[in-house]
Amino acid sequence: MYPLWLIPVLPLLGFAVNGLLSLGSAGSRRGPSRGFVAAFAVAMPFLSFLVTVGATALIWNSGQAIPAQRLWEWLPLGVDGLAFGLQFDRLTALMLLFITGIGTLIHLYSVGYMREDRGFARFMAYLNLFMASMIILVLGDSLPVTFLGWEGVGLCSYLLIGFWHQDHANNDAARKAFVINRIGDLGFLLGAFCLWVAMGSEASLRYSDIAVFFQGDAGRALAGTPLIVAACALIFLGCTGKSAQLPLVTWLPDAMAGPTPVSALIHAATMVTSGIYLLARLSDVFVLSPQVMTAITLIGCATALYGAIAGMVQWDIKKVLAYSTVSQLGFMFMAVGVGAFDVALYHVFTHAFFKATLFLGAGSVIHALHHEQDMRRMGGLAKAMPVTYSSMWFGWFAIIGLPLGSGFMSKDLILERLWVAGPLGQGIFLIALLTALLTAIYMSRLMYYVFWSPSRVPAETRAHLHEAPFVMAAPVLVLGFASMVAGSVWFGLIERLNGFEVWLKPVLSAAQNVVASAHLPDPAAAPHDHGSLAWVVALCGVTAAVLGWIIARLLFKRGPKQSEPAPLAGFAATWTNGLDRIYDLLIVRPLQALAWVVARVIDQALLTGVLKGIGEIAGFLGEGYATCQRSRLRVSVALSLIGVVAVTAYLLMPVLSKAA
Amino acid sequence: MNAIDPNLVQILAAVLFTLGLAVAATRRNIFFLLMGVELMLNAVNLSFVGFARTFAGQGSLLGHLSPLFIIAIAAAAACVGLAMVICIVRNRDSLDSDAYAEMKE
Amino acid sequence: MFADLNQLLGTIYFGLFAVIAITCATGLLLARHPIKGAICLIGVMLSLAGLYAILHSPFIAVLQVLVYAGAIMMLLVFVIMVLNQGEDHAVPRFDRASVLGLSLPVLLGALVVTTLRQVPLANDAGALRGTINRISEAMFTVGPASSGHYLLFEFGGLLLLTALVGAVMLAKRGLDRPVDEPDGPKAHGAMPHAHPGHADRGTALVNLHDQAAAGSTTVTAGTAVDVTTGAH
Repeated sequence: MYPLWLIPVLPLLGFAVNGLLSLGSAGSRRGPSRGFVAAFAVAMPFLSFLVTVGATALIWNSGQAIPAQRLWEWLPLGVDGLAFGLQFDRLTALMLLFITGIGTLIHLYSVGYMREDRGFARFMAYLNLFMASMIILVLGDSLPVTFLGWEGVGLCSYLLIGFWHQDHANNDAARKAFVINRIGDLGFLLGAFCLWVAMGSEASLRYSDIAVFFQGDAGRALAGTPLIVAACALIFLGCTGKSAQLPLVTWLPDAMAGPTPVSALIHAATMVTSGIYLLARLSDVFVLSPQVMTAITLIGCATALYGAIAGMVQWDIKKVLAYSTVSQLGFMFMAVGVGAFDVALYHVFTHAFFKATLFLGAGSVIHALHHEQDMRRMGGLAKAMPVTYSSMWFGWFAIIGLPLGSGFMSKDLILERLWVAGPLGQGIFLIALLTALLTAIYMSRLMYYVFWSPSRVPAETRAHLHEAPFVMAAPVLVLGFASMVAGSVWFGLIERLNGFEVWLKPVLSAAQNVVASAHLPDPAAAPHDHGSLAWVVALCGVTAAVLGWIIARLLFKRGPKQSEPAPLAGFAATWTNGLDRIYDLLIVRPLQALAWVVARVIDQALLTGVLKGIGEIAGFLGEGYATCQRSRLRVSVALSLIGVVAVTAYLLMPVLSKAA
Repeated sequence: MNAIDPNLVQILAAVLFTLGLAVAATRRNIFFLLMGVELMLNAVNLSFVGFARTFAGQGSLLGHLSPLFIIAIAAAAACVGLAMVICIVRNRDSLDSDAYAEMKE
Repeated sequence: MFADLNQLLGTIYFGLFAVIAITCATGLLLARHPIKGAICLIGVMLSLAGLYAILHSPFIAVLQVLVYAGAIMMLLVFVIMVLNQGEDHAVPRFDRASVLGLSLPVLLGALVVTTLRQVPLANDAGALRGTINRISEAMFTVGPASSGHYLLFEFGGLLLLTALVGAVMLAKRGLDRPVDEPDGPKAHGAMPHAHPGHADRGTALVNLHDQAAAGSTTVTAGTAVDVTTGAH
């Protein structure tokens, strides 16, 4: 039996060892040995990657999946209990390959980035724990196992965002991320419960059982029923929390408070894509509720536009990339909403590469400028940091969607699928195209401000400017290169270059056929249009990219103006903080009011009042009794005599009554 | 002489007890309080001894034993009580129990 | 009316002692002078001793005279004399507050007597006489039949010891107060006494303290009376 369990256990081991080292050296000034920690922490994900490659090789030719491996009896659910199991099918293989691969590279990068930090061992431990959680998330064969990983990545996100915990703003950001994630988790759980109820007597939370049930007639019959709609809506709520879609989007920009490798790994490449993964896993269920699918598309579209507009008015380089992530995630959800799960996953795949490149490159820039993140103080870095610049150039090329970059491949496929999906889809198509244009504008703006505009770097920093060390520059270069070639696995314009699509067919075809048959009343008519449509869409995409670049060049070539026009600054502030203010008004204030009510009214007035009242009653009664007490000794003796006589009479009553 | 009517003995004991209680409950002088208590204890002793002859065998001995202990206890009580009287008089220089009415407040 | 001479004598003696006892008790109730009250109480005790004697309890009778009348009342008389209380005409013996105190005991007594009349007692022929032999046997014999009362005896001793110590502590307090602290009738140039820091009424109280201690030591059941004068 192939040791799938090694894949999560290795990073867990890294977490344990590094964690213990970190704890043990808590008293020392320097901390544990950096070399050992670095070697161990990077080796673990790398070994996981090797194991994953081995597993992939196993299933490359010989069928579609490694059978699910039940590790131990876990939950007493359903007929024969739910075991903790791992499965490795093509979807898992895909996710795991780039999770462990990019993960290893980012671990390596972190060695360079966080080396001088006192909490280096703790950082690597948390990073390993995150890897383990993410692996469990995608490797699980049932919803509870995935949920375990889901929660784990949420926890690690919290730990890592608030890594530099002395600065309380970081702690606030971490808490915000965690709480908003939690709301999503509630949706996940409730959706799972609804699913369980909907499946009735065949209820099971294993993905294989769910797929079989909902591909069968019993499941298909449940299409559109309230329970299924509720389940899908709630699970989608969980995905919005994890993948930062409206309304649970505000945590991602704040999450940039964490170190840059964290932003790259968690908030760009892996954790935020787990929402898409979950939707793909449960695709058979989601296609049965068209209302939710439409909602997904609309929300994805709105989020994409929201992120793109926000990205245009940011000054912090990481915030630009954060809103860019939000926007690209919106694209992925748009694809899911029209039933194009494989296209969405393709965009996940390419996005992981180019976004990681961009983040790590930005990290190198920040590192070189001594933790300067404001683009107004950057510029002209192309010559000073050539390797970083080239890598970021690749990333920029990809994300804009210039021809043959990976982003071009995946984004155009998304646009194509949108167009095909009916009139609503065509409206969305236009908005998506606009968003692509905006993406080009703000990403080019970033490139101009950081690299192509005259330098605004302070003189003393400029003197010490140098390229990032090898251990940082190498991963970025590798990722940049990958972001160019990753698009080769599926070239939408050429029919035969669709290896990616074919790879995922066994997992997703059932669901996608349901959608396809709903959208295209005449399947026979599809192939003919496909080729020309693809070319038209490609042309639109490239036009948007180039146009965006030109606009950006016109506006931003010379760098930011000295002073920002006030309306623009006002708009930027509103757009960025608006959602937070709405939440503050709608949710936080009422909660605070409720808390005030509970604390003041209920706690103080009622409870304390009641308790004090009881005490005061006792005191009152005591005083009342005290008035019976006579200060004169013999008077009180005489009074107590009354009691004595009464008791005696009572005791003697049986005898005395005979006399009476 | 085993001819004395035990009922009369008990009635006498009851009367003495009543008188003792009356002394203790009404007199203002502290000494009378103590003496009333002693009188009550004596009445109880009499009651015990009076009962002794209404039981048979070993059971009757309890009526003779108990006064022994009661006397001991009365002695202890008198001892401590008188020490307290000394204390009290030292404080107030008065033997009137009503003079100590304020001490309860 | 009476079965024989014995019964007649018994009843006469009983009546005699009863009358004396009740008379003295009433005297105690009505006395003004504490010493008069004490003498009345001694009278009660002596008549009770007589009653014990004719009630087949010679041991207790002797004990009553020796300990109760002889030691406890002596202590009481000492204390009364030391505190120098004379007749107190200012304080009425009975006032409005005494109403309850007089009527309730009467009520209680009436209850008991009524009960008695309902359930009359009768002498048992097999009753034992309370001689010293028998009592000591009952107290100190430990066997399968009974476990004896010697534990009570020991505890009684402990109790007395505790009372002794307690009385000493109570009475002694205040003797440690410094001489210059105002205490009652002002010092008429009190001479420094050998005993450190005693109050103005120190002399008498010191003696009393010792007497109290000494008096307590005499109250041990059955042992010889040992009157020690001021240990100073």
